[in-house]
Amino acid sequence: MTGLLRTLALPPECRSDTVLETRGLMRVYGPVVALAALDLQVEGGECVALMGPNGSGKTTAAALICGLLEPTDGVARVCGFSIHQEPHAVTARAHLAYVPDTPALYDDLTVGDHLRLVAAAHGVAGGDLEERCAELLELLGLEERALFLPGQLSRGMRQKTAIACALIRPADRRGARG
Amino acid sequence: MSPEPTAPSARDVLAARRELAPGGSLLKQAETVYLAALTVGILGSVMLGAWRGLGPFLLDLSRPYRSIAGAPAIFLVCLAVLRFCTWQGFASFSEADCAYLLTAPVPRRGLVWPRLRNAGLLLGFGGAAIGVLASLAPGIHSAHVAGVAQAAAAGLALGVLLVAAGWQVQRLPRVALWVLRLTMPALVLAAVLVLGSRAGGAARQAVLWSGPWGWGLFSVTAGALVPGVIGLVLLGTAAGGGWVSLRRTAGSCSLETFRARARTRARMVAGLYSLDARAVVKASRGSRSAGWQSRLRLRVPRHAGLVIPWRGTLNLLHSPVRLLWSAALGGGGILILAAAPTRPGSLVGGSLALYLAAGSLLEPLRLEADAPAVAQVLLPWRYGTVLWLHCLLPSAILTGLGLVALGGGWAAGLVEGWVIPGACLLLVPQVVVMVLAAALSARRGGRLPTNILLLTAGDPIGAGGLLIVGWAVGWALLAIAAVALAVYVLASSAAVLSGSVTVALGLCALAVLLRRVLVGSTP
Repeated sequence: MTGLLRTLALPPECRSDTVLETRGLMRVYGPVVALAALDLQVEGGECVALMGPNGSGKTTAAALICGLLEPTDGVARVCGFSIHQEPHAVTARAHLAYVPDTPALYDDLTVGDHLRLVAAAHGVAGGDLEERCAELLELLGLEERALFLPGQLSRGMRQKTAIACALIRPADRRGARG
Repeated sequence: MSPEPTAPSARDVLAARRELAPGGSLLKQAETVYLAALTVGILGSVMLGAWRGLGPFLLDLSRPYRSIAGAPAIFLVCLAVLRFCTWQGFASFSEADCAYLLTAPVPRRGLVWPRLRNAGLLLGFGGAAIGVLASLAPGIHSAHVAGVAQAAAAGLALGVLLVAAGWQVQRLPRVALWVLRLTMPALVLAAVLVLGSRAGGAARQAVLWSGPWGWGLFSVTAGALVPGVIGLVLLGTAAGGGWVSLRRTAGSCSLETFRARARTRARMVAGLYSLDARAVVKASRGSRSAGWQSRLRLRVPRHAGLVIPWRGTLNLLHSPVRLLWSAALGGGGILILAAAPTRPGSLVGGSLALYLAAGSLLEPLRLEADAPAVAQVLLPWRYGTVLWLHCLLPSAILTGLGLVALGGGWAAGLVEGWVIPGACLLLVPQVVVMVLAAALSARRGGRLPTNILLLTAGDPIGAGGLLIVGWAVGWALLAIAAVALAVYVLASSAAVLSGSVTVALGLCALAVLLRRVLVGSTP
């Protein structure tokens, strides 16, 4: 698995107990079938790892589930909302975070600013945002790098920044089970 | 405990991004606008002065090519814009934007629409300005008020229509694929439009009615007001429809499309920064939707010397469109050289087309130059020999094409009979010289060498630019000059047979020299 896929646990607006569901998810590149009819169901609180040999479609599956790729066929739903169809995708995106193996970061934003931007983009405002940012940076060992630009970071630190960006998103754990 | 989320709007998200960016303050933005206005003002006044001095001369010089102006030129601009939208487009985001803004839980339309709207306004008003300038240019249009207003309105509508059409190409991969597939037929159509414009009368009317590229070009005079008004109404309706569709579909573009374009742009910018033209070309090619690819297989040759031509044939079979381009350029170039061997324009044009065809067929050699270590590991020959072997197939293809072009030209009456024997004798050496020169140019890759950069950086007399141009097109200039001179000498020679033998021997000597340089290449 090249990326860490984190589906948040059963938010209140979930249409069902199923946090993530794919039906016949398929992706074809010309003559190459990268992913053939993936059926997957993840309940709230479950932790699922996709495992398989090289070229079996793990990365493609993750990218399709997160909406980074368009499926050739099939559907992926997060909390009952299709990730590939606007406006349903807006709600689906609110409950997804994806950390790729080579994260894309803004060259002109510091580590701390990345967290603030992602928080703003997910509607996380309020007084304790700075505290939460500091908490996350400390948790990931980035507190001394908060004012660094991506160009000044090692690959590992860049990866940690992307993980922090994934964790700063609002997570409702009230429905977490298991 | 995480903070309670409140649904953000696209406007909030974009504002947050602007606020966090170092250049996002109002003062910084005002400074940028001021600098841009200053630059435009200075450059504009300089260009206006230059136009006053050179304009009439340039207009006079362009008189024989006026038939290309107007509908065919607008058609070609439209085609170029649509091609641009197959790999980039008017709404573009950075890779980080794709990772953080486009994955945010806000309606995508709100993030995309401002960019499309700005592009529409920019191209619309830019088109209007170009329309006004074109209508005021002496000798092109009568500068009456109605004509200027018509040109401005047509330019505005055409600009908006282009953005709307470009957006559909950008957001729908299938449409983008059709744009790529139909480029060659579209170029043929452009040639038809040129012929129609040149013919005048009913043919010119047909060209003007043939599409949006002609609707705004009707003359608005007292006697012919109706076609002009109808053309404008058609153009305005199309632009209005385009604007509405732009608004309605602004949110319906996949993240995959935006990411692919962001990656392409990042690679192209990296290529430009490192002055690597090859990297830029590869980035733009890599972004396009996969076109039609042949699945034909070819039997592996028994003779080792044929392995490289076999590999070249496989490459061509995988991208038959390139073979078609090369055939059009190569055959056309040889035909032009044979049809008008004494006219300087056709000599340079024909030689250039032949050089471009050779360069296009040498793509496998470029791939070899991209990763020279591969040949050293996989193949038994020296690097220079591998490069030489890569020249065999293009030479054979261009020779065959040349024979077909000469035969066809003679049958169609474009090439005179007395030219054919000399042209056939000269065909092989001129093709080989072109292919070898193109190979020598291609073997260096696209990156400007550091020593050239150092030389140009320390150049006190400003000849650095010339040095770079010389490095980039030196081999091409040599080959074009040699072939054009050979054809000219042959055409002006009184004794055709002895003249052609002498010229062919001269080209052969040059080919031997070029081959020696190529075989001596090291990775």
